[in-house]
Amino acid sequence: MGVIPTNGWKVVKMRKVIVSEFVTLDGVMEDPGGAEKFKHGGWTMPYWNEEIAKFKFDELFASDALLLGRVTYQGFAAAWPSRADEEGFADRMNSLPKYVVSTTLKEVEWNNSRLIKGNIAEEVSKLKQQPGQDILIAGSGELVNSLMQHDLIDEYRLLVYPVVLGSGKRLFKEGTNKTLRFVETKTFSSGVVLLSFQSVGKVGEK
Amino acid sequence: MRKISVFNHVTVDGFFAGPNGEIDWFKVIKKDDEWEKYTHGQAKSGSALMFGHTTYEMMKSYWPTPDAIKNDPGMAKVVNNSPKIVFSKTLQSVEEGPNWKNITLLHEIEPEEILKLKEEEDMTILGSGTIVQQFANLNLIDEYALVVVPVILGAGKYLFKDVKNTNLKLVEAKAFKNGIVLLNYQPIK
Repeated sequence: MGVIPTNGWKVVKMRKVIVSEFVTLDGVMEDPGGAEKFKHGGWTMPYWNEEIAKFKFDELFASDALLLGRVTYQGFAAAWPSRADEEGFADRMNSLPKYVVSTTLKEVEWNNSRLIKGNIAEEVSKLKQQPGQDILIAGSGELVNSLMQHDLIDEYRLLVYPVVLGSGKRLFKEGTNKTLRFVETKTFSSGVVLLSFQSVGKVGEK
Repeated sequence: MRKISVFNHVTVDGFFAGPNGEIDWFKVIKKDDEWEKYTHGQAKSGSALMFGHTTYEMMKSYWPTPDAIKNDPGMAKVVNNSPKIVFSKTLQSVEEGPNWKNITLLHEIEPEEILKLKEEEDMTILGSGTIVQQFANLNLIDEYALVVVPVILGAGKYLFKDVKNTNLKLVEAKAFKNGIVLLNYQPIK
């Protein structure tokens, strides 16, 4: 006793930035819920079930901050404040701290939101060093790609939907090259597959 | 009922090859007995192989060579002897060799002709994104076997480029110990 404080491991453990996304088999992430008027919007809806709800619930409760880009933030801010459910998912969405990355937004009105206007890499690095649970990113394609360039993402969780859309914004923009470490896969009965990966480095690096 | 399948490696960002057809990223796939067993089992299933011009040339430059026959005799035998169909508008003829046999050249993808060939044997498209895309848009594909390689490539050729909106049925998702995931789907026609 004494050499390592009893809370020693907690002190050194950095918070993880987790990117959790709905994607189609052709890699599209645009408008999964259908609120954004994309012609194929709402493509996740036919596959929603209890298992996916449970997965999203567990993930949200393992996180204590949301990190969002403007488009996703605005969609969430329009939808969540008026929602409620027995399990407390909406309450948690509404109460968790939300960090919104945008150079154009002037203010953020959704409960417990704050704006990150510049120095994204620095601000996110600071968040990671604060004590806490995971930092969760959903949607927010632009933000994901810029954080990837700064190697600030620790884990990718892709819920792959059994559909090819043929058009729409892709999750991964061209230009970033990374080798990942496979973590796990999970199959949901509606045909959705979770693929989860951790960051390791660039292709060719050990 | 015979089937037409697609077997392809894809990156996490959806590419089946780099910008110039590179497949050097396959090198992240570590040796894994179970995986090898699976691929060899697939290869032995006796399917005719279909390619576009680019993939065909790549296959031809590797599999009939002494190196390939030495490194992977089982697979080399299957690829070299299986019926092979090449789709190309520009190739004038295909040359057979002592280790490279059973080749048919087709200048167009004629659905009726393809369906007729399918009555005789299972057919598998390897690589060949443009062929996959044309087959997909003609509703000719019965099954996709996609091997997800844990790489974000950042540039390359999209497997599903310009493929029409299609719903699929998940048949199987299986992870191997070396970190690759096999996804099996049937398009809902």
